[in-house]
Amino acid sequence: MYEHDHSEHKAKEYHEKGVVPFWPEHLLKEMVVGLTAVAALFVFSIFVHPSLGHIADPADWAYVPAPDWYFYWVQNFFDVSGYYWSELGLTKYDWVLMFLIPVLLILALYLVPFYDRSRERRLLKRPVAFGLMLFGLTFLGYFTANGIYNHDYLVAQEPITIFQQSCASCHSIQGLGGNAKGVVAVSPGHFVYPPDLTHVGSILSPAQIRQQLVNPVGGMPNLHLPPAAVDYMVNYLSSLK
Amino acid sequence: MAGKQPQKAGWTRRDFFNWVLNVTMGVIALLVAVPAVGAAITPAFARSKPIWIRLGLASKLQAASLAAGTGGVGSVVKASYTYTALDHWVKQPASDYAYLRYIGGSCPFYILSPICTHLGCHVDWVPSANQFHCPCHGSVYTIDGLNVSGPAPRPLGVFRWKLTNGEVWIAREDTFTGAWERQGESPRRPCLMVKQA
Amino acid sequence: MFTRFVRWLDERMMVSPLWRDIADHPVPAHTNPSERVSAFVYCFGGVTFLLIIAQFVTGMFLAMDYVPDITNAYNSTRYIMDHVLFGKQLLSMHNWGSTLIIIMVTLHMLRIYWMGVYKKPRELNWLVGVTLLLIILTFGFTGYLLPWDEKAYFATQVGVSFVQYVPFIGKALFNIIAGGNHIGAATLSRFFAIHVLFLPALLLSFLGLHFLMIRRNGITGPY
Repeated sequence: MYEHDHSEHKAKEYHEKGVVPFWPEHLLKEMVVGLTAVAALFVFSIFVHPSLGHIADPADWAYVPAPDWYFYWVQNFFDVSGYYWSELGLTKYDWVLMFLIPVLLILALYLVPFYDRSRERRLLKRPVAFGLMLFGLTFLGYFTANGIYNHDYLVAQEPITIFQQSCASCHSIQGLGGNAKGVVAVSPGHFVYPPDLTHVGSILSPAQIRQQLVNPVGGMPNLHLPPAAVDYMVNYLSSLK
Repeated sequence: MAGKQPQKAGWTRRDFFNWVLNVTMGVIALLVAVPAVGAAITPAFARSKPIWIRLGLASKLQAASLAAGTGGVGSVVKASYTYTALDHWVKQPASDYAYLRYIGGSCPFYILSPICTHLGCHVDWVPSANQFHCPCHGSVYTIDGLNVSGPAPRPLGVFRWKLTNGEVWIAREDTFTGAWERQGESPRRPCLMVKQA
Repeated sequence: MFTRFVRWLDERMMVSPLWRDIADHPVPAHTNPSERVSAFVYCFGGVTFLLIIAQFVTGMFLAMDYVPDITNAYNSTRYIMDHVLFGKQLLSMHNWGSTLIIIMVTLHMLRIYWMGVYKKPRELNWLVGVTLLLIILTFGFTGYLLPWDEKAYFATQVGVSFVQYVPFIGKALFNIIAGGNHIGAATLSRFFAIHVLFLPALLLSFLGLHFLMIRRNGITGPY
């Protein structure tokens, strides 16, 4: 910086060796890449905001848990393997699946340099390491995709379950559910029948559906659905067109 | 200094100071670590009392259960309740529900926690199958709360309950399911009625 | 004037040898994207570090308006989003920054694995690197709870439940992590402390080790 001659001398020496000083040559190039990343982050953050749902409510039984995207594979791996584990009658040895196997996987990752000991660095000439990498990536990819699919399936299934449990005793959708139980006598000789909800989405707006679920009018009882259940029901019912 | 002197057997002055320094630093670390780690791991040893919550009039609950069942045999009904939850330093109004069934006899109510023992979702009562189904990972429990399939490791929790002035009260414990937890399948339907003193 | 000030400072602090050591240390040209564009793969680690610094800054300023208490965490997060000037941008950058770090760390690890960088004498640095990965994942996990919305709460409930399967001490471990028998007030304050105090200290220590060992071992040459 301030020892100019020294720097000149170094620069020549570095050039002959095929190296560059860290400051500023190398860092400049790295910072250009860094700027690209931070600028992308900045611009993306302007347009896409993280969503803030309802305040946490431990009693909200309807909410389908969703991990951060990079943990979907963990959850789904244990969901799927847990299913087969219990099908095999190994529930007694759950700690093997839920504790021993994760610990061994983490250990396997830690110990990579100690079992891939050859001097060869080219990946294609390290078939075992290459195979393990492909297996690992496939594993992560499969369980992430499956986890997201499974989560979406459960979210789609939840309102149908809620409908069957809480609504179907009075209302019907496409002929399923509904009976005379929900008929309300408003005055002698006048009855209000619970409406068929098959096309409710084209009759009521999502806001009206939400209003009816939270503060029902016209003889419908308040079901005291938790917020997540209301959200799922509003989405589901407004999709019935 | 020490290097110039002839090696002596046993402890040198330097070894001694080394030892004293190590012990001093160890004691300092211990003095800081004991309260710090102690505070961090206290929750592992904390025991808390259950809170008693009024579920409703026994006669009403009995009638509801009988109405849900057929032929004078009670079936499972959802009994909602509200209570003041004390979470460490936070007091908040809370609500939850229990699955109650009238079974008659000397221990007339059988009250299950709806918390799935797998990961804590609320299980659904499916009357057509006479089972509890967990919407999260598909665990299935019998009407008595015994886990029959899916990832659930244990049967559903059972509430201790008591009868006071014709009203059913349940004990909400500070456990995972909020109720008393069975480790095995036996007894199939434990009686957890608390006799009045 | 500036040079004189620097000289005055250096007479007292004597940091210029340190600075020269950092600034002048030779870096192989083959890791420099201006020599070969494909060398950008060598930047993933550095970009991760840059993003970590960005996370420190956005996180510190978010903590100015955030309250780690179950009655206020959600409301203060809402407040940051709706009423703090640039608050939404700050929160958004912190949120997507964590995602970007996970992506960059994955790419960095793939590069290390692909090129067999972890081989002798760099085994030790691989161990430090995997530890850094676990620290970063813990950052993500603990940070996910802080807004205290339903997504946060139930994901944490599922996540923390896994430790119950640890033999013998599973239940005690759950209680220690959650601060009680369930996810609640104590969990949030614990996770906040872990997220903003414990993990940054750990992360910085291990990053120091990571960089020290990179300097000692050098960057892998071309095959």
